Amino acid sequence: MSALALVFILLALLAILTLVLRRKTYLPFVIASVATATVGLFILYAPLDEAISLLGIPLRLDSTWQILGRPLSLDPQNRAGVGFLFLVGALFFGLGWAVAPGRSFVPAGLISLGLLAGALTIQPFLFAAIFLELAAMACVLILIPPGSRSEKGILNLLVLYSMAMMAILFTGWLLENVGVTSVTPELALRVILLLGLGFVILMFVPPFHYWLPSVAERVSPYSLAFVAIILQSSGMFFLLRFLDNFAWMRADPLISSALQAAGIFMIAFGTVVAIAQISFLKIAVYVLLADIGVSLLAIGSDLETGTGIAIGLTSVRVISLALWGLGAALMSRGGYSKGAGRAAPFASAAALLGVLSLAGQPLTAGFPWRWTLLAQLSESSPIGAVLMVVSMLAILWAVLRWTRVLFESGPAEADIDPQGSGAEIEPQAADAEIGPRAAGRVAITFMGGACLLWGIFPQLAIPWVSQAIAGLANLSP
Amino acid sequence: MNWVPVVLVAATAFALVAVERPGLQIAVLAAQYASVAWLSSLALPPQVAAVKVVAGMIACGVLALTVAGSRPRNESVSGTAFRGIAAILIMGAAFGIGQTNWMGIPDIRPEAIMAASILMSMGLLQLGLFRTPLRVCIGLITLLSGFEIAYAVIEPALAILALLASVHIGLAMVVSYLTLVARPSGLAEGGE
Repeated sequence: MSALALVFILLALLAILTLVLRRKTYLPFVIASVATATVGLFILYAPLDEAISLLGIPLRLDSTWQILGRPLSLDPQNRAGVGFLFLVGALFFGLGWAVAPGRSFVPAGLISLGLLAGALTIQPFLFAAIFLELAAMACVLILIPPGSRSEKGILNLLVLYSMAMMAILFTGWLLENVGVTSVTPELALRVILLLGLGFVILMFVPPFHYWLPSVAERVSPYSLAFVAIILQSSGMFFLLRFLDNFAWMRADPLISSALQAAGIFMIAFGTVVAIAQISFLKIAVYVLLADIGVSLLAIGSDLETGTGIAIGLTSVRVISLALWGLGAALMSRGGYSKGAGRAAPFASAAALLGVLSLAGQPLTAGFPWRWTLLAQLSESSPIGAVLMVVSMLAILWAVLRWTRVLFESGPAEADIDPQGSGAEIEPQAADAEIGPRAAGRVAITFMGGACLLWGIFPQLAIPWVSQAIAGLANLSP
Repeated sequence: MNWVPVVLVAATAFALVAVERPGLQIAVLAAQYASVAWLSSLALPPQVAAVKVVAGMIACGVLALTVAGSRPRNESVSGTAFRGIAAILIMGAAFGIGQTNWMGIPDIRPEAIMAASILMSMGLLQLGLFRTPLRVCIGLITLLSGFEIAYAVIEPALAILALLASVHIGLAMVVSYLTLVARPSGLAEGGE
């Protein structure tokens, strides 16, 4: 019996079940959370390709599943990534009922996770691009629940992912069949350019990030956080697999320079736009870009230690984004206006703490990995190190400014920007009804606690990070 | 004889830019799918190339039902004359590019590279010109069809063909969802 076949059949059944139960308040969230947590742990720890006995029944779980002549395979290189995606799903489904992100959130989320699992497990892995495109389509259903307003940014997401798919598929052919190596510099440059086009889209590198801010104010922040983390994480694992599989890419200084340049650009761009931002919801989007930039800088600066840091940053990004998503979604009923924080102090504090964690402020989940990277960059890339520190301080200032606006006393105003430009901010999508207040507080307390816990005890993420790095044999120190 | 589908592809790609009636666009799109399958059959066995027609007809069917259910307004982002001239200019450029094997694909026939160039260029033009879900979808499908004509030469595997076909159907279904189930936004459905 194939382990992946079991997983995909279970996911299909769950998607149908949660679709049927979509009008129930919390049942689909609970079922999906428990099931995806089980699947995640199964993928991470199940013994594959060896005889086992389950309740006295002899069993053998195969790591490979053949479908239409193509194998989907769970191997050490992708198990940590696939397991991670399902655990992210378990977290977001489990907390989702507190913010009611829409009736399509759970079934479409399950379909997206299944497709992303397909992307990470298909062999040859170059065909993952098609699954990523299909997953982006499923993400549209997560972002735009039935009855919500269709947005242009959503179409931009589809257009961008289609282009990434074409670029990566073509690159895959060049790599697999034409035999591109460092001794064929013309072809290698072509591959790097095409692959670069694909990955700047998957990693949200500006200007290919533009679908994110354009939907940030129109969709549930919680749904946006989920979609951003699963799509970006998959892109990151995909990038690491490329680097792990092709020796000439690891050796080519152009690749590491390009990664560093992209990282530095993302940090600078994200920080500048975040501090100049007039919309509370868009701040997190730009801080997220800066955070992804830090990951790229880590990989580009030193493949061996940087990969571990990038994977660690990916793991804690989930906590930061979930906390921000919860807080921002719970704030949506009252808007994001001057004084809104006094009406919803718990939610506002959570959203602000989530942004601080994304920016890697001390005591938050994002800090320890950045601290490790800073120590490394001080020797290899002092410019990057200085930029990271400046970025952290600038974002801290922006968050403090927003804190003052949100908690300012006085009559409530229409949603405004903190600089007083008077630009109005749209209220949340109509479908995002807010769950019971108590549930929201429990969810925020849980995630806030996790954010601080991972900030103080970063070693909590080490077992998973170690497993992920061990799978990438050529990138391991 | 093999240049007939290239002419058909050019004609349908031009019509997709120029025509404004949604129903007619979908009929033209169906004809474009047939032409693409014809061109793909230069590199693939006909029964395999037929997968493209089947997937295309399903996608067109979904889009036709969507149009029937939503009655989308015509998008008047620019005049027919402007779009026609833009299409002619882009197609001229595509003819120029398509003279050479710019993708560097070995054993690709000149008809295939020409058709791929035309479709990819015209798809990009549509993505630049239009903003409604239906027209963006048709633009994306045109772009993908051009890519697939060339890609079929280098990757003829049935599994990949099926996955790419599912992308076309998925795009049509997502656009149908955005049009029928989600509330259309003013920007998305009303033009500018």
